[in-house]
Amino acid sequence: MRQIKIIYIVLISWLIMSCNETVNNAIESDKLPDIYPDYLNITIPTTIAPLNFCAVDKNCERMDVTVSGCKGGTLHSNGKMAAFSIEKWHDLLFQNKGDSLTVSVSIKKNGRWTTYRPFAVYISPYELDAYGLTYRRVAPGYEMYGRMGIYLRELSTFKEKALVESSLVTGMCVNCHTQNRTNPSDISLHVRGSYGGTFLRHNGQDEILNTRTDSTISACVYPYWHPTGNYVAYSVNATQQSFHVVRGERVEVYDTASDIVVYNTQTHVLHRTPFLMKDSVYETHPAFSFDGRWLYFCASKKPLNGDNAAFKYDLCRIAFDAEKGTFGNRIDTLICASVNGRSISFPRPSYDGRYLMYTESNYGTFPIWHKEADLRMIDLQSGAIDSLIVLNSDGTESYHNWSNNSHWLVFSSRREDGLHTRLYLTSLDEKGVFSKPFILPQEDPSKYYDELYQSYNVPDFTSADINIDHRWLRSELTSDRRVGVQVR
Amino acid sequence: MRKIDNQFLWSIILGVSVFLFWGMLYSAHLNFLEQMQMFTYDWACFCSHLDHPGGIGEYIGEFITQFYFNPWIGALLIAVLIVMVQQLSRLLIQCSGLKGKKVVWCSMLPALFLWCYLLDKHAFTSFGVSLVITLCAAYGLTYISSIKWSVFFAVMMSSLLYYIIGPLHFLFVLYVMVYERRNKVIFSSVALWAFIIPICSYMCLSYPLSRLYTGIGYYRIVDSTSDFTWNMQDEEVLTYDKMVRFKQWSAIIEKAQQKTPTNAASMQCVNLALSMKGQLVERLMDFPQTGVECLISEVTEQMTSPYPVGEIHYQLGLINTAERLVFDIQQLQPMPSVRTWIRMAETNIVNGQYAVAEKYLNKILKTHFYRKWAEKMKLYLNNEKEIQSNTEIVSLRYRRLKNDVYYSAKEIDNMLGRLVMENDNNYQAYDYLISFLLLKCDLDKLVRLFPNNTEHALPRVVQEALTFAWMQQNPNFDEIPWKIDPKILQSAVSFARQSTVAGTTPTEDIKTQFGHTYWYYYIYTSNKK
Repeated sequence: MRQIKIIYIVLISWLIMSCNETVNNAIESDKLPDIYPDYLNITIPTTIAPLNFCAVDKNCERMDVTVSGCKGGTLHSNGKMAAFSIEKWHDLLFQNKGDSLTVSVSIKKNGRWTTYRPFAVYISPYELDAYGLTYRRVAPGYEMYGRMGIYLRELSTFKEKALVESSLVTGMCVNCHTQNRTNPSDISLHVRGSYGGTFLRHNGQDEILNTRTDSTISACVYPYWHPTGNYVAYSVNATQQSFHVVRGERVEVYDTASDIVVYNTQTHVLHRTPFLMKDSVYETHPAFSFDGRWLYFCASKKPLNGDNAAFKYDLCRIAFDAEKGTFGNRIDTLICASVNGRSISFPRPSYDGRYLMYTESNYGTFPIWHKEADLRMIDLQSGAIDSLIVLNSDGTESYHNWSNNSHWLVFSSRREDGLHTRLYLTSLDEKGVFSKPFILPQEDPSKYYDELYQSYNVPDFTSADINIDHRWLRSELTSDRRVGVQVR
Repeated sequence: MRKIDNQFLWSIILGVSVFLFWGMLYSAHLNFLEQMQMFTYDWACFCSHLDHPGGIGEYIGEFITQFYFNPWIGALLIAVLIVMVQQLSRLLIQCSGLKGKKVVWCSMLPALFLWCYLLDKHAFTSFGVSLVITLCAAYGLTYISSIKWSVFFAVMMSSLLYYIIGPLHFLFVLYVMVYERRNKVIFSSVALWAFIIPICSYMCLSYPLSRLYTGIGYYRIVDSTSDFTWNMQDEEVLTYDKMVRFKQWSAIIEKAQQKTPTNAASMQCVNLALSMKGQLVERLMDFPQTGVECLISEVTEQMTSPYPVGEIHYQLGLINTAERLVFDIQQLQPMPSVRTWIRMAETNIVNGQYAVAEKYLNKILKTHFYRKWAEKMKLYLNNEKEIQSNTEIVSLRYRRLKNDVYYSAKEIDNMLGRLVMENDNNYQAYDYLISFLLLKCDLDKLVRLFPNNTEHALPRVVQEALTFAWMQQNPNFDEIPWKIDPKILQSAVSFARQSTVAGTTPTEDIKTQFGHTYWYYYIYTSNKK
């Protein structure tokens, strides 16, 4: 009996030892470790979920990682990948806010340990004042769509929940969701399909709109909230898509007509102006300035030959009077990208009024399928344009949004494999310099991203949790009940 | 003893019948079911089934379905499933007090129902699995003698069953009500509870209530008009589809020679096979063509199998379109389809997009039957030297379009023309272009393709078409610019004379004499009108 006990103790000890193997006789390397995701020398907010990572080399047998805070605190991980407890991670981050962490990585391969040169992870002094991220996840497809939805991911943990999924109503598609400066009390979200409508939440009150009218080209499409919450600017687009036949090119989404309208959330009226409804000009992607006095948008003259590649959108603006719901009588062109043979889309002014970020591509209004699409930023005070080398890659960069304090940015990029869009976070300092972007952390990032065959799009920060009553939404969508809109 | 023997004899007869039916007559159907799913040996596959009622039944069903790759194993598994339903039904009927021969006959009904249900190409094996599980649960109830424990078991089991197999738990509840008919009040409560469970699920899940009552994974809902369908025309398409999948080109032609294909989808497979064998134009009129839809078409949701259309585009060199078609097919499916994923991996390798191809291959590596294929294909990633050893990839890279244009299904002749213009060695595209113009009865364009006489002998069908085009504008053949066989010219005159007399309906004589000529197709068979 005593012998059996000893055997048990030895076995258990062996198991514990084997689960936490110490680094012995390691070769010292002056190279930085090759890890996935690339978290080397990035800047993170204190509220971000643990930066779990693994070795890029599939033959890695084990990793030993020590994270030491410059102001104190240490975390240790030993296993197949580096994984940290959420609570201890946050304690370490708060303890070292404004300073940095030093990450020492040792990797065991072919029975031998190698210790790499430590790298730093900087903890930004700027708060990421967001509870989470909202985004759509959808297969990077063509005409048909299967399972998809709008999801909310908690930034401090790895929890994700579905806000609306396409399985809610048969044949349903959801897209173009947006909040008012990350405020979840104001949401606009389109549902397409035979039960289509626009879900609008204003001051916490939900309604389903029918934004299709006889006087506008289509139902409302790209939304942007006025800071007061009393208006939402929408584009109305007659959109088509075509398919390329050569390698490296897939889909071309383009408008055959487009205008901009502003919806009054109080009166259910769509406000129009002839300046934004010209037949000879396609206006799209509206966005209000931080103070709501200007409405930014992209506009392209209709080329004579009608060739898609000739559609080059400039960044323009028009004054907007929120008191009266009226527009100015002059269009200003802020960036004439067409002169350089380029095209602008997705303008997003920072909420502090200092910058405006946009996507620039060779042509057209839908750059997510354009490999050359990159982010650009204009300083609205000086007019200087930053080509954002630190953020861009060889792949497509497209959708982006600011955090409420405008110190953090989320953007989507196809840099990983050229097809599946992933989300990246980066911080902006007082000098207008962005930090190296990092992919949205996951509990097991390699496994998660390798097995995720969907793309992220239209990411936005949310300052608090969002709850949508599925039963109410399903019941409303499948009924004929829609709040109609009037055109003025 | 004799009685028991009889009972098992009938089960054996049933099992053997099912086995032979599915193995011999319905093997393509099994292959179709197998290709429309991808069972992977990983947690992700299992966990993806846990978020809705009936998911575990679906998981077991998909596990079984993967073996349909070998139709005889598939037939055996279906036979086992159906016999299990019959045997369990027999046991339950016996427990209910019924005796004699009626037991065997009654027990056959659920088994035959399942057999019929599985004939539908949209029916999943998970339905059969769920049926077996619910019958097992019902049989378990018969072992409990205490009323209290019966109630407890019934309540717990109906909840558990709903989670495991979905709304087929109602069958269990129905049996509870019949079996325990003495305690109507108690067991009506159980029934009420079973009825409420889907409503409770509705509160937390993002599925319409109707699907929570009718089942999420018993039946593939392709579009809102999907309903139970079973016809041999579908089975014919699936048989051709299977042969296209395994590139059995000679077998396709042989099959079409033995039995005339009955629809355009089957004809697309036959024409593809002819094209792969370099016989498309030469033998075009040997088979019953009705129009361009027999050659190439767009994918629609109503298609029995959309894969042959994708295969045609792939083989012609329209790689992006082939990828788009299968990608869109995937979007309409409730689960990943292994055939789609294989094709997407292939198109991405052909296009040199190795990172995306690797992503697909990594998933395929987790399957049982395609692991080796995926391992082999992984060797091609970022390895141009290795790719040179794969003649299909090399050939497709050579054939694909190099100059960009938007694909247009409405101008398929234009797309085929581009393939030929960019690569005059793309004989397949050339054959398809000629065949397309012939089947479209677009003789103006065909004539422009053959403006002058050529040293090479023209295919018979082209000679017939050019003769026909010439006859429409000229009184005689004196100045006909092409080298036409004199017999064809004579025959054309004879056809013109006879068809003028016959009018719009061909006589038997015309059919026998000219049934395989282009003129006959043009005047009587084509749907150009």
